This record gives sequence, C-alpha cells and structure tokens, in this order.
Amino acid sequence: MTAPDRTVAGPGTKAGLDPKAGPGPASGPDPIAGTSPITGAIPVADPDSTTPGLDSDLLASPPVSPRRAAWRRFLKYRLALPGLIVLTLVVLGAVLGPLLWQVDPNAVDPAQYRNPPSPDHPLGTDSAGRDVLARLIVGGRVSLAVGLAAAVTATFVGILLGALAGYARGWVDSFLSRVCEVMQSFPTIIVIITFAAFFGPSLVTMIIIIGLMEWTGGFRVTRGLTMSLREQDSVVAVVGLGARNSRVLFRHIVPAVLGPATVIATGMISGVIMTEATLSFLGLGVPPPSSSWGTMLNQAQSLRILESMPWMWLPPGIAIAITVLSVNFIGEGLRNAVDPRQGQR
Amino acid sequence: MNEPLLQVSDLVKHYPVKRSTPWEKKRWVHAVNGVSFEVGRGETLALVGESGCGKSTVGKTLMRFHEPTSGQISFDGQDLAALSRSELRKMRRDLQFVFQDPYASLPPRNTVGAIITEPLEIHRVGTAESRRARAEELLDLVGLRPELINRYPHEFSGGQRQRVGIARALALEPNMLILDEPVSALDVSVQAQVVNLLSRLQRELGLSYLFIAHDLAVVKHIAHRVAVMYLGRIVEIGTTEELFANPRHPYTQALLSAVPVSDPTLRGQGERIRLIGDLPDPVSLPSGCSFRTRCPIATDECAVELPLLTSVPEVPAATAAACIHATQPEVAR
Repeated sequence: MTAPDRTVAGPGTKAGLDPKAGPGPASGPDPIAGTSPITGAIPVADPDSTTPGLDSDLLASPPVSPRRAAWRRFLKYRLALPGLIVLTLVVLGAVLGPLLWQVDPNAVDPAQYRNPPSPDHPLGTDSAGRDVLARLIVGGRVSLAVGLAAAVTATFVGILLGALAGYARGWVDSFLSRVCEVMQSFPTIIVIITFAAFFGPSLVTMIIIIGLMEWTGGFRVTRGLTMSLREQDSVVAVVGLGARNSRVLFRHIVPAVLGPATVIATGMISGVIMTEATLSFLGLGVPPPSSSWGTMLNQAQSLRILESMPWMWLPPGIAIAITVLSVNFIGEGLRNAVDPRQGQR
Repeated sequence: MNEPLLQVSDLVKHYPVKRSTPWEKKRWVHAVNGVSFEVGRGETLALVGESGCGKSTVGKTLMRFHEPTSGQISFDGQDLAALSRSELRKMRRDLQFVFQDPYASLPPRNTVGAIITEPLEIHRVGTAESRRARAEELLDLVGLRPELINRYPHEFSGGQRQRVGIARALALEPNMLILDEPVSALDVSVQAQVVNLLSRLQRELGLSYLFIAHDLAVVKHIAHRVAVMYLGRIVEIGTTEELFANPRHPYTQALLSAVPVSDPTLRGQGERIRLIGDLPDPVSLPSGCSFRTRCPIATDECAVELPLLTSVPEVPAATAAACIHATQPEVAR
C-alpha cells in the first residue's frame, strides 16, 4: 500500500458528518494541514494552504452573481438602457395616460371633423371627430398588450416543446421537428388572416393566433441548446445525484435556456406589433370602436389625409417606430447579456 | 475487506458509428470489451491507460450515464446494470461520481451552497436549515471555508471547485466514489492537495474509490491496486507495489518506462521503451491481442488468440497479465 496509513484526527472526522455538529471554527487550523505530506513524484506546494490566497480575496469582495454580471453586460450596449427607459415610458403612458388625459377616445363629435391640433385636442381629431391623443393612448394599450402577450405565449410554447424535443430525443423530437417545419413553411400572415376571418377579429384571437404561429423560433433555439446542455457535465452530474427528469429539465435546462429565449421573445415583440398593425391596417385587427396604433393608421389611408393631415397618421406611426426601436435595442442588450463568450467562465 | 463492494464482470460498451447512408453496414466503436474487476470496501482501485482506452467509459457506464451493452455490475449486492430508473435513483445515494473538469461540472447559476445541498434536496434529506448546516460542514470537511457558501463557482479556482465537486459527491454519505481523472485538469501543486484530501476522506469515511487516471505518479500515491487498460480491455491488474516494481505485460512496462524520474541522479538509467504507431481504430480491432500492433515483443502467435488475464499460481502476489509472452515472475525461494 502506498497510500499513507497514518490516521490523523482532523476537525472533519466521521463525527463531523453528524448534522447536529456545527462546522468547525472558520479561522481554525486547516483540516488538511495535519495530514502527512505526500512523498514521491508529486511536489507538495505549501501544505498549510488548502485554499490558497483566494479565500481572503473572495471574502473581501461581495458575491458577484451571474445575474449581476449579465446586467453589466446588458449595460455595455449603450442603447440598451435608453431603450429600456423609453419603452418603460411608453408602457407607463399607455397604462397611466387615461388618468392624465381624461378624454373619451370613443366620443364622436361631428363638429370636430378632422380638426388640426388645438389646445382642446393637442393631436387634433380624426374623421369621426374623436380625440387623436386619447385614441393613441388607448391604442397603445392594445398594441403593447398584443405584442407582449403574443410574444410571451409563442416563446412559452417554443421553450416547452423545444426542451421536450431536445431532452427526449427519438421519435418525440422527430415529430415535433416536423411539425415545426410545417409551421415554418406556412406564410404566417395568410394563416392569421384566415383564422381571423373564421373566428372574427378580436384581441384574444389575435394573441392566440400569433402566439401559436410564431413558436418555431423559440422551439429551434431551445431544442438545440437542450441537446447540447443534456450532454454537459454539469447536467450529467445532476442526473448522477439521482434527480428525476423533471428536475433536470426545469431546474437546470430551462433556466439556462431562458436567457437566449428572452432575446428571441424581444425580437418577436416588435415583429408582433408590426403584425398587429398590418392586420389592423387590413381591417382584421381589433374591432371598432376600440383602437390600436394599426387601426389608427388604417383609418388614415386616404390620400388627402396623408397629404394634408399628418396629425392623424404621424402619432401612431411614430409610436410604433419608437416602440419597435426601443424593444430592438433592449433585445440587442439582452443578446450581449446572455452571450457566454463575453462573460467569465 | 471481505466481500468486495463493487464487482464488475465482463462489462462491454459498444457505440454505434453514425452511418452516412442507411444501407451501409452497421459498425461499432468497441469502447469497452469485457472488463472485469473488483473494488473492496475502503479500497482504491486505479484504472489507468492512455487517452481513448475506455477507462472513462467504464466509469460512466458504471454510473449508467451510458447503458452498458452487456455485462454484470454488482454493487453492494445489487446488479446495477439491471436496476429500474427509480431503483437506480435510490442506488445513487451510495455510489457517486466526481468529474474530471471542475469548470464544467458545477452548475454555473447556482451558489456553492445550492450545489452541495442539491443531492440532499433530491433525496429529501432533512429540512432547508439542516441541509444548509450540512453544506457548511461539508465545505469544512473538504477544506473550504463555510463562509463561502453563498459564492458562485466562477469565483473559485480549479482546485477549490474540485473540492466543491467532492463535497457534493459526499453529501449523501456514499460508500464509493468513482473519480474520473479528478486531478488531471488541475495544476500540479493543487493536484497534491486534492489527492491528499481524497486520501484523508478515504481514511475518515471508509470510502472505496475507483480512481480513473492517466498520471502514474498520482496513481502510485493513492491506489491500493491498479488495473491497466488498453483498447477497452484490462491487460494487467495487481497491487500497486507489485505492478510498479514488477510489471509483467509489455504495455505496462512501456507505460512505466515513460514516467519521469524525479531524482536527477537516477535519470537516464532506466530503459525507455518507445511505442511506435498510434492506437488502432477501436471500430475494427486487431485480431488476437489488441496490443500486438505496437508491441515490441509481438510474434505471429499473438494474432491468433485473445490472451486472457492470467495470474501465476506459484506467486500469488504477482500481477495478472493478459499476454502470452508476459514476464514470468521469479518463484520465491
């Protein structure tokens, strides 16, 4: 036997495994220091320090959580924070705006037909004499709600099916991947128009249809990541501890996928806001009299309005542009935040 | 050490080779080809060999990270190869695994405390507070300060991370650890510390180790017995002392001749046996003895039959070697 047989009673003997026994004093002698230094070909570097140097450095600095590091990388993209602030303002405006600007967005007043901006109507009135500012605020609620809800639905479905396919592999994966390919080969907008025609245009239909049509992006990313993650040591280790599949999947794989999936979701939000605008422009969005930015554009279609009444189409157009732009900036920041190549190991 | 804790007999693991066309003949990578060994209670068996010899595959197959193609694995009286999923989960309390790369094997999003308490959580041991107390003890046991419990893996050095990995493996008080090259990713100075830690834990906790390694100096230090693998087979097995002093298989002799000598005055004395050529393709193994393509003493007979591990009855201490030309130990007295 070459292994040293000398028994040294360190602070962590078998008794130390008793859950009631408290941990030894932190500043006390290092348990390994008492063991016989090994001989032979392995050089022994300072047998007194089991956890060299770093220990005290580590204790001096507060823990840097991966989340904090990700936030720093997010801020590194200079437009990310302005994007976040602008989007927050837009959301706040849509949510709290009606409290500040208490004008009924649906109040028709033939006397105010297509009036230019005035103190009473800062953004003018539309063809039915309704206040454009009030309609812009209320319409923002619809556009943002559709964008957010549909993107979240689509990403949720994508993550769920993608993680399932990537983890189970075999026929489950083959089946879901084929379904995904079929979905991708449909021209989305035509399918959505068909569905909207069947079920009638409404907010909920729109969210569900867009959500169920756009999950393929999230699916593909999640599936690929899951396939590589399930082979990684950190995940195999958890299997080796005796974890059930559900734990491995929901505690270790899905959290790792959430970052990249969030990036996809943000990318989708702007796309969905545009889709909603398109649908509304085609008259398949939210039914009148409720408004959305897309419906407002739709109602400003005539050449006369476009040429001489910019107050009717400029505000919703700018609102869409600003929202989409800031969401894209946030998405770019998030992409940096989750990119492992930029972070520490 | 009466009844061995782990008994592996005729373990085989073949991987299918991906075919480029469906009508191509199915081919297999012969990673492990009938490996048998035992590990006693409190004993360390080292499994050594060069890269690609199948030693890690043996360890991972024992954990059922890969399903064995055939063979029996008896651990503490149960056949691991035949356990159902739920039985397997229970068994994992007693048999734990330490990975080679401490940078890859710890979940990066969790704190050290969460990592070490995870096995306890999985097996519903204790309450949240008692698990946390246990994690602090385990940190202390592996030589890390319990205050570091809220830190993340990326804040630690390689050696410290490997200690965390060992603490996690010990959380459920297993009987045995499979250590898959636990120190080869570490600096040499840190290797010594971790090897010392493993020796101490073995003494204090009565653990059995299957120590997979390619560094013979480390193996000489920690192992009681050594098994040398070549192309998925054990070619020689015996006590560490005997194997290092009187290797019988030409492959073991070649491996040992390549170990650097620490004493400069002794350098250049031993004869260095150089192996020519590369490891044969594990998809199509050579006939007979798989080492014959690189063996310095191979003859035509070597291609005929697969040599089996044979011991020398007159010299029970001598190692068992799988070679028809194996060096015969001198019969004592």
